[in-house]
Amino acid sequence: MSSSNDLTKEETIHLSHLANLPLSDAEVGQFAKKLGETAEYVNNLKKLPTDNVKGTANTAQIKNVYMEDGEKNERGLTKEDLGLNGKKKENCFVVNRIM
Amino acid sequence: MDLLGKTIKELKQILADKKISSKELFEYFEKRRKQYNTQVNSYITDISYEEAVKDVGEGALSGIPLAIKDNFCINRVRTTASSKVLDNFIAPYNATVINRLRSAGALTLGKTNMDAWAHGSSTETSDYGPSRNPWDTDRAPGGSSGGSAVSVSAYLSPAAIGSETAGSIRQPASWTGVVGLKPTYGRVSRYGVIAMGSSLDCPGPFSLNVEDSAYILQQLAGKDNYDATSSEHEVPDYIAEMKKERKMTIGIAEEYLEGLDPDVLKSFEQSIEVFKKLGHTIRNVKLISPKYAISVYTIIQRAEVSSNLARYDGIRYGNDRSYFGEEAKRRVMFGTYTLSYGYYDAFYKKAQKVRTLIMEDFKKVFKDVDVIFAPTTPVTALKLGEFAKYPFFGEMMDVLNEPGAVSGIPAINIPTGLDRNNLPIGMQIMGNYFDEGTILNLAHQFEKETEYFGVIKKGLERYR
Repeated sequence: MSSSNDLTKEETIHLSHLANLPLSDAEVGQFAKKLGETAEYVNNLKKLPTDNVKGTANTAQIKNVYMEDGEKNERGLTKEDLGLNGKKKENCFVVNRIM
Repeated sequence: MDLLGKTIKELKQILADKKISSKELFEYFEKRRKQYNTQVNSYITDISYEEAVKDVGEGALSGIPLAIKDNFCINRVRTTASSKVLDNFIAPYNATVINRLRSAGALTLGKTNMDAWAHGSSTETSDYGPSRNPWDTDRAPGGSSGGSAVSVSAYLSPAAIGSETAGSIRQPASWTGVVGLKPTYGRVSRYGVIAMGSSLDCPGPFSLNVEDSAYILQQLAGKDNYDATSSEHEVPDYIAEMKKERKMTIGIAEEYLEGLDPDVLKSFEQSIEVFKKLGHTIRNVKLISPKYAISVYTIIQRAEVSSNLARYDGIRYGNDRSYFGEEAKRRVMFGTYTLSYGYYDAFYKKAQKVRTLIMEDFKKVFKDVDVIFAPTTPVTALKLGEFAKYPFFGEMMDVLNEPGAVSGIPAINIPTGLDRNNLPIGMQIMGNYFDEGTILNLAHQFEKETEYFGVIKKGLERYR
């Protein structure tokens, strides 16, 4: 059964492109419905007035975190560390062809 | 020597008295894992003693073996977050939590199972099979830190490290009958923890008693230069805070007592009587209904998930994006939706504003009370497979955890009894920002008075 909140097939495919997620046709249909159901639930937030309320991104209210220039890099990640999990390396990562 | 159920403090004494060596202690837990892991699927990667002792320091946790949730990076150890996307990922560095534990002398026994990417409340979304509740292996242990909760509940480790985004420590602790502490957001560094919801994620301990959780938090808490959201807020002596003689004012909100299983409600009411008897004052308070926190959490967490999982491209590490399971895909898709053009204000921005309302609500109530009590979950452990039957079911199981999660306050789960099916019931003590000392104090008072009505002991005896 479809409801007014269901996404269209086109909208769902557009989102899958934005998210860089390969989806099968069956998944597109399934997500169109599931995303609609979730959107319907979270719409209950409309009941709470939030005029003049500022949003919160960080609950610890921390602002402007800087490190001193030249601070010791204790992480010390080496080239070997960074390349440890690259699949097709010849001292470089091999990326997908984009042209 | 009978080691079953020995706490960290007791094990430290046993090691100090040279009754056993740290290697023998490590082997004791390896043996238990070999004996019981096939039943409960707690560990998904084992770490050998030789690996565990490499570059480990001396300190407060010297020789104490711990289980670690598989979303914490351990240098040169396979770290998957229970997803096949990271099936072959070898972490090239240590999470700050791991560095601090190892500097304090702790030995890592292995990596524990979880919902894939910590997406879930049952451990069933793990690509390595579900963990099973030690109290009834047909039931879920809760999640997402299910493997860590199971490992403590069945004594496959004396304590464990988990992480919570919304309920992922408290809920499995409640369902497996152990202590689980979710610290204030920013109290413990997230550096090297595979990110789920970056504005929500909090590492924290599971243990057999309150003191061990306080002890572990002491090692983990504090500013970390590699996590800009970690706080410079002073770290107190948690054991001293825990032991203070204090009488407190406890808030209870009706909004958190709706739709509970009758056994859960009864156990909660009995626990309130214990606190009254101990001389504390109970006061009714009013809080925004947790059903709004579900929506705030759903939007913010999925938005952050869609951003955090964008890095998995299969080029620098891991497998490509076709390896994501259904739950991860669903969350990435909804997160992308809430952040996309035309929907950002209605969803994401609105959720951030309501998040402010929920935080202000807690701050206001904490002017009148020291802590807020609530059950941890509306029901006890469900059978494996129940979650898949209902949309949104995981979120509903975490309903009582989500307000605390989105506002970033600390909370602890403590066992309070067993239900009609002999399954553990838990309650949570929520505290003000960076006031872990107070919730540890009250939890400890309850523990001294009741010994959790024998729940933890009874759980351990099943795995003798």
